[in-house]
Amino acid sequence: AAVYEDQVGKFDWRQQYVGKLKFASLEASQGSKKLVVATEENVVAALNSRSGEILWRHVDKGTPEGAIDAMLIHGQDAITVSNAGRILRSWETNIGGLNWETSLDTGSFQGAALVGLPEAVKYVAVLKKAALSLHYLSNGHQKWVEHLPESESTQYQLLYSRGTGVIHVVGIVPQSHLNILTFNVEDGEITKQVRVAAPWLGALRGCCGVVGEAVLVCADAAARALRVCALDTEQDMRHVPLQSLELEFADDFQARILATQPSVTGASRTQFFLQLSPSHFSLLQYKQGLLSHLRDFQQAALVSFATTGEKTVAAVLTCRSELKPGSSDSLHAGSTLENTRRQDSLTCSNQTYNINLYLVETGQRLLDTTITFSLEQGGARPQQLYIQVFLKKDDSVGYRALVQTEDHMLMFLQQPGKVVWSREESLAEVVSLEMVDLPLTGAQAELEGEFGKKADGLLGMFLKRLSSQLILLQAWTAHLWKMFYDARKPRSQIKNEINIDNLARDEFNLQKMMVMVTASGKLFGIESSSGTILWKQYLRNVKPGSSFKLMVQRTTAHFPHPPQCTLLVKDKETKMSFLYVFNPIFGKRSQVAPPVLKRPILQTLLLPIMDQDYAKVLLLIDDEYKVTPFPATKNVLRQLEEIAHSIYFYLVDAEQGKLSGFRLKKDLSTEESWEVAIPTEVQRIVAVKGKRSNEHVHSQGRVMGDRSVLYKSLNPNLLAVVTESTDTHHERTFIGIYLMDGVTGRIIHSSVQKKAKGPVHMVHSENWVVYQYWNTKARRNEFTVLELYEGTEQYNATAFSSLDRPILPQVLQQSYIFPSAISAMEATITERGITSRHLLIGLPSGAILSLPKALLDPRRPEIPTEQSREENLIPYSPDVQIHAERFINYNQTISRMRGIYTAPSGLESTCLVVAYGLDIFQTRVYPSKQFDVLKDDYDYVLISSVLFGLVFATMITKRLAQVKLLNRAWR
Amino acid sequence: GNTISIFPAMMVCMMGWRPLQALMSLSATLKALESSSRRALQGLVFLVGNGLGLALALYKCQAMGLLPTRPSDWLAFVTPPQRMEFTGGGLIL
Repeated sequence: AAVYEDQVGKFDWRQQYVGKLKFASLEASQGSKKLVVATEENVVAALNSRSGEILWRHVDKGTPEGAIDAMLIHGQDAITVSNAGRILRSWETNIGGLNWETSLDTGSFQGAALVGLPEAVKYVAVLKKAALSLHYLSNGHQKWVEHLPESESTQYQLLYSRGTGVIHVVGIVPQSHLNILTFNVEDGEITKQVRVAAPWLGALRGCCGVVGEAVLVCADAAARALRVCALDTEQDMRHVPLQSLELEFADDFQARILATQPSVTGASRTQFFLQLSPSHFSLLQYKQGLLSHLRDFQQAALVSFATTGEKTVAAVLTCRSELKPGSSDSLHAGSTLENTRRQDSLTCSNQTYNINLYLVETGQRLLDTTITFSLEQGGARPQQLYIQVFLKKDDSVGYRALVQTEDHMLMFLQQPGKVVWSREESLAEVVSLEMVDLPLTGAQAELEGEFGKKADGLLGMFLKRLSSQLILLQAWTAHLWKMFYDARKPRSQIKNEINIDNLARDEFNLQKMMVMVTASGKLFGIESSSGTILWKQYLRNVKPGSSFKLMVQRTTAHFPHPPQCTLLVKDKETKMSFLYVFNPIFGKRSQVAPPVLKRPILQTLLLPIMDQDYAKVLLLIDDEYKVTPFPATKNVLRQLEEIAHSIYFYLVDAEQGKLSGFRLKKDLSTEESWEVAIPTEVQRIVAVKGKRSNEHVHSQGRVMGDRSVLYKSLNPNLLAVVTESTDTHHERTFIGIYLMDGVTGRIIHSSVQKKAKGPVHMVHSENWVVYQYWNTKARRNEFTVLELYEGTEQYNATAFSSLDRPILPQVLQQSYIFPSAISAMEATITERGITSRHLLIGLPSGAILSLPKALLDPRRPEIPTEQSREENLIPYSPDVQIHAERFINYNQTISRMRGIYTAPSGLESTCLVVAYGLDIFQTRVYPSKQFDVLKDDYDYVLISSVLFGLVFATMITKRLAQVKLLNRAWR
Repeated sequence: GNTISIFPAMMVCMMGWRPLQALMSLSATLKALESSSRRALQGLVFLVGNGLGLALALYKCQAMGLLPTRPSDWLAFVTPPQRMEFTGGGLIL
């Protein structure tokens, strides 16, 4: 499976992502080349600000343990706090090296800040629920740690220092008072402790900010006023009414304060933003006890501060036209899902935005600082704005802006509106994936169409054939012409760019369209051979945590009908679902109107029957166990009525530990036919897997050493159910495997693996199931393979009915030790199923191991015999080794792999593989080598020269023989 | 040896081909026997002898495993059984 050096990157590609930004830092200089980011995916990375490429990236654990709580930048170092405030790290941002790492005491993390003395920044302070600790920036060592008084009742949330040798910590007892502590930086002594009554305040974060020389400003929406209090002096909060400034708080909106502190060794700016409503910001100044209004921004979507040198500017992102509440113009299928987010949803009708800079001191707009950019229509809104300002040579202010939109897209903009680069970070969270064949070219379609149509006479057929051959000839000459034309140009100029217009299937169907669904609700169409994103579509009404199911209803094989994919989105909270029907090649929403789903959908079932337009019929089962077909034409309903008696479906409720089977009735209602209960007190269902519907099995049995046949038990309705025990004690923990028939509910095989623990990874294919688990007794990872055989006789060779299976299959089983944990597992699949199967195992190290299924074969004998040798069975050895040459992705490791997707290609030998996680990797594998393709290094020259030489020699010898015969005749 | 290698294979080919050739030229042989008085018997012996030769060749083929007499020889032609029921579903979304 390993590749040769010259094959690197020939058939494979990898794309790396960082995820949705949580913190970002842009250096305030024009020549800066990097921006440091920390993301929701627990990644710390530096991006090249010229190209958007990743300079370096550190991926922490994917669990909450790796979550990054704060990031602070000091010079060339980035300080991060992660694992709920347990770990403090310092990174060198130029090369991404770790400077130091220290672990902190437990306690819920509240905040972190750099602490400066007047001359230099030397410490970082970490605020926990009950303690404040100070660490040296140079080595992470702790300088001191101090307990916070009254920490049970007070929530300490705010940390502030301005280079005066003291640190202020503000805590709140909601609806009662504030507790302001002042610590001495040198020894951690509490020099002052003040209690300020604030019965109107519920939370500090967002609501309050520190401006000027340690002045706490809080917004009090109920009193329509600001409350101000100096942290240094002992005084009560001053009440500053806003009516005089003609500012009105919006109803039901938590007003927010945004302040800025250009340097930790100096005071904050006296100017700050007050957000009065989702789109209304106001730039205010509080100086020497006086509040003044600098500028009002009525239609702003986002605001941000940035500082370079002495200048601090405010950046305001506004909609070019008017912001509107709701999203009346956005596309969407399920209109019922829309209302809950209305409050903070403001859409910009033409999706064109402006960014402007304002000088904070005066609120004046800086000339020539407008960036105008457009987002896709019906797309996402900007969500975060980061500004990089710098002074140009003529002392004017220049800037670049990093905008993150709701669909996790990052855009880096430059004046006057040029997109320097953009990144689609939602691809770090792919949840569902399908590969769709590309459409045929016009000529190919013509030729295909010839066979599809009904015959219209001999002459007509002949003429049609002639015309299609002519078209082919034309295409071929055009191709030749292009080749000739290209050959004259230097090689570097030839661009073989793939775009949506020249998309066409290649000879062997190796190039496909990957339709990816991401957790953010953004869909992508990616061309599989190059990884180019050809289309994207953001579904705005998808909430985080929704479940998705992507189905291909019509493939590209039914020209001129466009291919059709259907995505079912189900909201976790409201349980409501909607269908989104689209063309997977062009990404356009389909004209076909999907049914409006009034009830929550439990499952879907894609039937092999088609309507008159060749779309497969999709059945949607709702929570009343009623079935909605889509499409629901008369033709479909008639067909459904005919075959209703043979349609069954099963539903697995993991929460209640219930598996139930249903039978479809003619009136599209259902009837429960079986039910299996798995008591949830003892074990819970973790995975249910049927077989892939597009899987072909070429051989119906295996040839034994004595030349008899062991027939495989290929039950297409078989389900593999995995359970894990609720008791996780290492002596009592177990996993259960049940093989059940999905039609009858009959348990064909069940086994319990004692002292075994999940997570269980499983592959179910043909007549076998492979699963992997952790053996708690031997403390190792193990594989178990189950294979099902009918025996030497087939019960019924012509038809398979689950209702008529009197004989239970024989189950063979074997286990193996695997030296590593695994993060994903899938089996290869090919067009006709002739090629031997491999298991693709994603390892936590990021490698994908291609393991021949023959190594996991329960018929491997312990003592090899004559017959087993005849069968080519490898003698049993308990350990399966990881050979680095079996890695299909050589050094292109995939971080945090979550799944592997396999698809057949037009070549029987070749299987397409996509692995996804934080990164996306695509390649091809050849489990039985490339038996149907000539090798790359096939010597055409030698073969053809030998051939021509032989023909030539034959001709010469023939001539010589003729001459000789003639001479002999004369003699 | 019942292993399949070039010499036994050639031997078996010859073993089968010779009687076949002889049987094909049966009419010529019978013509040569026209003058004989016990023509019928001689003809029969010729036939039986060659038949035995052919049988021996077949037996040899069988012993070498060259005859498709076992079910495994026809396995590639076994078509998958037709599916009578259709099922689908899974964990509740």
